[in-house]
Amino acid sequence: MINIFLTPLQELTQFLYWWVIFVPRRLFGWVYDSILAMDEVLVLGETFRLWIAIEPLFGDYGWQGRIIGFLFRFFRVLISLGIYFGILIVGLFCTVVWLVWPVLAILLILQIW
Amino acid sequence: MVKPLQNTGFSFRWPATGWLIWLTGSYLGLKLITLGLVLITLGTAGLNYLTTGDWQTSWHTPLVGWTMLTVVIWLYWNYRIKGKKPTSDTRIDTDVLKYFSFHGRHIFWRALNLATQNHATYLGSHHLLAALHSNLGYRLTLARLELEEVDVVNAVANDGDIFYDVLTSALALGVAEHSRISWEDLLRGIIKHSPGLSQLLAKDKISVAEALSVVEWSKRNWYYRPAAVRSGLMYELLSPKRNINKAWSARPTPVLDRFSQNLTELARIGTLASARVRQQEADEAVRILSRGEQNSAILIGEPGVGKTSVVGDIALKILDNQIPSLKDYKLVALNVGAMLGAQVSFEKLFSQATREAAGAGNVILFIGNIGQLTKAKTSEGFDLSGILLSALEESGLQMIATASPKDYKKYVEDKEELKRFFTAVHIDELDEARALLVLEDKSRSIEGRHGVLVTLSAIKAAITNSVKFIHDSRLPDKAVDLLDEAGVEAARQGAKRVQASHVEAVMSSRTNVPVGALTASEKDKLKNLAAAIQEKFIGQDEAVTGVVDALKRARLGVAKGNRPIGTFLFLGPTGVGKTELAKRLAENYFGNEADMIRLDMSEYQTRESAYRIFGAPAVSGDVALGGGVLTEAVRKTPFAVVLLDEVEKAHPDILNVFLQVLDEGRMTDNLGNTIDFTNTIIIATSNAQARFIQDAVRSQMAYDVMRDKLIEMLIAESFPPEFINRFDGVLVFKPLTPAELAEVAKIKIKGLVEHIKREKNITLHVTDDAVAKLAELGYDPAFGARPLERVIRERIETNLANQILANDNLDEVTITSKDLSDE
Repeated sequence: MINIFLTPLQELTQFLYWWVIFVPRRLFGWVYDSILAMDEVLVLGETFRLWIAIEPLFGDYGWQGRIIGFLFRFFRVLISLGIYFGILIVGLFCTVVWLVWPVLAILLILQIW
Repeated sequence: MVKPLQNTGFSFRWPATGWLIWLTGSYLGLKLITLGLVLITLGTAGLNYLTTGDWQTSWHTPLVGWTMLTVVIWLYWNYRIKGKKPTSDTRIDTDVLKYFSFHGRHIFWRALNLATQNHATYLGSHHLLAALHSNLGYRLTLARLELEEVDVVNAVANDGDIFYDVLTSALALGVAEHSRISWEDLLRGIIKHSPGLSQLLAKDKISVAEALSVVEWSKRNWYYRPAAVRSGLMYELLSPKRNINKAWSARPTPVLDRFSQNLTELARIGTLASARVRQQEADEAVRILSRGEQNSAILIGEPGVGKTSVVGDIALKILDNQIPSLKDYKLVALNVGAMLGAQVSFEKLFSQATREAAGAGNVILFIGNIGQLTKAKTSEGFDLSGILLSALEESGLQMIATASPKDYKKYVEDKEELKRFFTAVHIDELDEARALLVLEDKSRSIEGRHGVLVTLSAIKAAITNSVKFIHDSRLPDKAVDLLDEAGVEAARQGAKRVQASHVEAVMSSRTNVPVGALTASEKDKLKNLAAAIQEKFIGQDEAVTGVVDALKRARLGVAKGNRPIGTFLFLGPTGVGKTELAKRLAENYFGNEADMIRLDMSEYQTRESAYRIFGAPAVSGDVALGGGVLTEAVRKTPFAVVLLDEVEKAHPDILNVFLQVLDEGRMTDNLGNTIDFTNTIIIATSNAQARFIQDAVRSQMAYDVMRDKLIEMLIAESFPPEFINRFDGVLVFKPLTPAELAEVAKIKIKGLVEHIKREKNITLHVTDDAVAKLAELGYDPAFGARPLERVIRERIETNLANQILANDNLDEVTITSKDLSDE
């Protein structure tokens, strides 16, 4: 008899856990993995370090190499940050959309919204 | 409600039979509904937009809401049926199924269905196995183990209730591998805990550990896809144009890019496999490369042991950023061949490439077989090792090189100035257990190339046979080559599986040694061998029986395998057939009288003559020439009769050389190769104490008594006791009687008749009285049957020659006893 009440309650709790915690955590995990994968190519940390140290580009240790290196790396750092920020925003957007998704669905079905 | 089985604790809300169908059907149905709704929604919204031009009203429909809800329900269902990964806290209870993958649950429920259908009271391992029937990985495992499914199910049917043991094992495997329990975990649990299955495997000489590794092997192969390295995009990726490092800090290397191959790129696209069995050596090399100074490594090992696989593993580790000090590095293999073929001088290119590699700041240069490079001089007379040395010294070049132990000693270790830059990593030949793992990995490409399935027995046979018969290369290379050839053989025969018999067939054709089970023709040959020999060999029955029995014991596997097939000492006066028996044996069993390796031991009367047997050692500074007379002959023809004629004439130190051969069936030549004598019959002959034998025969002494006395006399006067002791049989050849000599004469005449007919097309008849006369003329107790040959030459062949000269159209000749008289 108790099962008639407990089992649906358990199922509801599990659904809410999945909807509110599990999937958003997975989404943030994908965001994190995406940023790491991009960093494999953009190597932001290393580029930033070399930019601060005014290291030259491609081993050209003349003053031209250092100036060009500084400028190139500056833009590269900016672009990298922009890309990472973009990925983060996309992730946040997806998470928000996900959280409101079932609510939106019900509102659409009932034509309240 | 269905009653739970005794050992599962599971009960069902629906009849068990329908549960699985309902679950699979409803999941499929939900997928189809979701897909259908999405398509309909997109279509409807799109049409509305095209009609109204207002996207907001197009999407603002209840249908969109239902679609969104269905998607959520489908995703949630996916999440629920996917299962959870077990952890170390997971216990076996009625909720254990949630730690199974969906496929694993399918198998479990199917097994439950089978158990309830058969009115079983408990879930047995045979139910689980029967439920695995449709699983490809399971069938692949059985195919590789060469087991029939029905035999496996029957073998485990009497196991009793081992369900919890199987489940506990499967759960432990899931926890260890951090994965949901699936088919391979259940199968491995059954293999571990089923006594019936262990017995079935033991019949085929497969251990439980081997069977478990085959499950792992089948699981790995299932996901195998060969890397596509062809022209076009992949080729462009491989070619060194895009070699800028990620941080844009490394110097460009245009010459190096042109004459090298980027191993890190190869690793990235998946053409380099991890050297699973060489992790220790790879880690050692990585430690050396990660150092600040003296950070070049040289991998030392014989050809074929897998030095290049270690280099490939290092490339993979660099790619995966497992080496922090080598982050953003690339491992580049220098293409010396391309440099030699270029228009520009090789010395300039080599010098430029090494300078670029050193100056780039992120390059590790790989040069294979560095010994060959350092000994070479260019056509202009430049020493390449000097160029390499200056790059190492002045520019800080970092390198990995490979070399054989001989090359390393000669071209690197002895050059102190070069040696100090390298730290050696020794790559030893793999043992058989690790070679098995390598062959399992290599089997993927063999299967793909030849369209066959490689079985475990084929891999084991490839390793065993290559170790036994191939001595000029190393594991795992020699076993891989043998397995590859066996794959060709199996494909040629139209077989779907490569089995041990294919490997043995390839080995037999390579070495001419009969390997594997006896064929029908070989059985007949062994059965009739004594009779076949005695067709052309008269008398000495004890000797013939002794030798044939030894062959039978060895070929049927009754005798121990790590010594020669048989070793015999033939004693007797001259001309009684000692050498003749060896020739008949070679002809009838080994196939060819020419497959007899004969050493006249009277040529080895000095100590130094031992070098002719196994090869002279290298004089300091030179390379040793190829092995000796005996070792080379046995190396090329491992399946032969080895005849040591007149062994009593050899120097005593020469006899000591043969002690190891007679005992253990092996000899090491001057090049360090172990020559395998385990497929030879070694026969030593001796005329020592011939007078005693003649006297003993005349006095009608019993054979065994004569032999024992003879051995005592030989030990006292001719041979060391440890030499005599090592023979399987000491066989005494008695002097031929006149009757036996007459039979010998008949055989020799028969041979002459066949020869004359074949060569001259003349029919030769020799009457019986002529044969008797020949035997009388040719008989000499002191010299055995030797005078008979001289008599035949002088009396018959000369006579025949004269008749041919006198008559051009001669087609038939008859020789009588009158023709043989002196008048």
